[in-house]
Amino acid sequence: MPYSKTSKFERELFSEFMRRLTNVVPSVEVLERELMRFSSSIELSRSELNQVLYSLERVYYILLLMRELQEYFKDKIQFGGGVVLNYIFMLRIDVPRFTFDLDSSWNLRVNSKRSVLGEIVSFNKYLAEKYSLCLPISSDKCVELMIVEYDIEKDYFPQILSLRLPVITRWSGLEFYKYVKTNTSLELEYSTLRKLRECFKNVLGVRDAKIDYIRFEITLKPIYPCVKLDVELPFNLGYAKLNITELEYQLASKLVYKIGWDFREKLRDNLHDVLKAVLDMRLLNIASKYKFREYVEKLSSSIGFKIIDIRGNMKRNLVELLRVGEEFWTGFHYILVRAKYRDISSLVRSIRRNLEESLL
Amino acid sequence: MLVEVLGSKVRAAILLCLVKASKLGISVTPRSIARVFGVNFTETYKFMKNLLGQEFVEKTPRGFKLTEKGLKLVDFTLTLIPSPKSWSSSELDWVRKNIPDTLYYISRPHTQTWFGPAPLLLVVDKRLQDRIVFPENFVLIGDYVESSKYIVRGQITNILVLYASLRGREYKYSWDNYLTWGSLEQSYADLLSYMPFWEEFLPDILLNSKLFDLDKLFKKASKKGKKRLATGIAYYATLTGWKPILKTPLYSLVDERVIGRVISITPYLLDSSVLVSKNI
Repeated sequence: MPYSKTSKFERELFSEFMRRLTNVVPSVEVLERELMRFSSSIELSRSELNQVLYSLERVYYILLLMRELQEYFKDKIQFGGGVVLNYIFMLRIDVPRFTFDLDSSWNLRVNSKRSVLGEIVSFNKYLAEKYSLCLPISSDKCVELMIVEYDIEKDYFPQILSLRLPVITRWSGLEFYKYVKTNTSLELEYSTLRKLRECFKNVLGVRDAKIDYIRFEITLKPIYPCVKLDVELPFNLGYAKLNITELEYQLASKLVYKIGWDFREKLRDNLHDVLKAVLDMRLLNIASKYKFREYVEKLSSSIGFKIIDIRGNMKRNLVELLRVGEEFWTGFHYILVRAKYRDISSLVRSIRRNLEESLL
Repeated sequence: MLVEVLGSKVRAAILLCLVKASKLGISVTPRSIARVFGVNFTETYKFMKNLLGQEFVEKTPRGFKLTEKGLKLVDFTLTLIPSPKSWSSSELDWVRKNIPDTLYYISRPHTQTWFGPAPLLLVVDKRLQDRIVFPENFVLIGDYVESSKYIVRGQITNILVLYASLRGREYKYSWDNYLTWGSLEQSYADLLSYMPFWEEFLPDILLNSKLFDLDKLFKKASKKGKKRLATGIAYYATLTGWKPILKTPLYSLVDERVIGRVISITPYLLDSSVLVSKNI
């Protein structure tokens, strides 16, 4: 049967989408290679390996987003937090804990979030031109993905702008047709659904691809010391020159505001964050102890504390963590750390010793 | 009264156009009359031929115009056009009585709720350039931008005038108020393309996007208007997670130079309590 003009257009729309999809979504080979690297020093069961593999797809997008943000905004932005600590620093010395939120800070003074949101519109233009991932929803119309959105539901603080990036994944998020329905109120026609499933099967190896959000935050009033790092990113993402909040500063703020904070009766609610911070303290082994202590002193005095107070709070918090920390420890985010260290108590104790020494 | 006295909409349409066009020394065509007035083309042509037979009109290379004999109908016909109600604009009454209805249209913010009274945009066929002497309160778009005299809008300037080709534009005569109006998309496309304070019309579009054919809006807008619209949509999509469904390649049209003006309308896009609590 000869193709009509419309069906030719439609075929081009879908084949273009498939081509773009291949460029954006990480191949299973790339993910498996990283899986081997992440888990080379530990033993994982088949099901644990799968769980790690599924998470790595999201880690890929986080690092891709970080690379693009840096490339586009240059010195206007810098990165810190769990993603940098675990996927940039920790990979050099130990297994990372999984974390899926990218933290960054804006290096220009702005009065309100709308100025940065305006900059995000320009960034979206850059992303759309580079990746141009438009999900076809009819013979001639599509919905743009890989476009950053303001995440109003997660935006709690006046000085922190919460954003999210919808991406196509194999394993996490909402099925693509549900996503389309939720976001556009449109029900995909069966023929479109069938064609999209075919595309996804060919490129991703799954029929019902999903759409998940990669979340990130930009802090608007930064005071963080910054270093430029030349980093080879995992997942074959190449080299990137990243603006990173100094490692010692990051560790010091984790100590002062998490491990050594006086949570009082809210300690139980914050123990999970304390555990994360404790695990990140494994990086003390590659940090300058002198600088770390200096930052701890500076940050403590800025809130009217002395190092002795921080130590006292730390002792109390870690005792509680050792008492009830098991329930957090079994969480999925620690799958790699758990496989390597097995016992939370000995790990926490060894990190505590290291911290005590650094604060002497 | 106009239709009642003349007996049909076809006759009223033809006489109105002939009278006003002949005052400016130009011709009109049955086809454009039928299109703008929404009347039957065959009937229009038939009546025009009757007028030709009675020597009220003569054929010209570009259509028909009144003869000496026909010009006697001018005053009579003009008296049939209803006068405005006390609260309506005297400027619009001037348009109603002086500009041929197939050679202009008015672009207005159909769904405007946010910015209060603003000047209307009168788009006039470029063939009429230098033929019309507008009264006070009609200002050419270029002059408006250049002169600070017109900055306080709504007080001095009521109508901004743009001369342009009307080819491909969408407009219809209204038998309710005897004026020609741009369609919803045509009006907003013009307001975004030509008005000096174009960003003020974006909230109407963004907050009522379901009323619009956005692709048509893009098609009707000028090159500048397309960029302004795309930047407005992209900003609103970023701000709210809205997924516009378009054929038009949105992000290739986004213009970084106008983002500053687009973000100035943020207070009209979100609830004020959200703006304050989240520091947007």
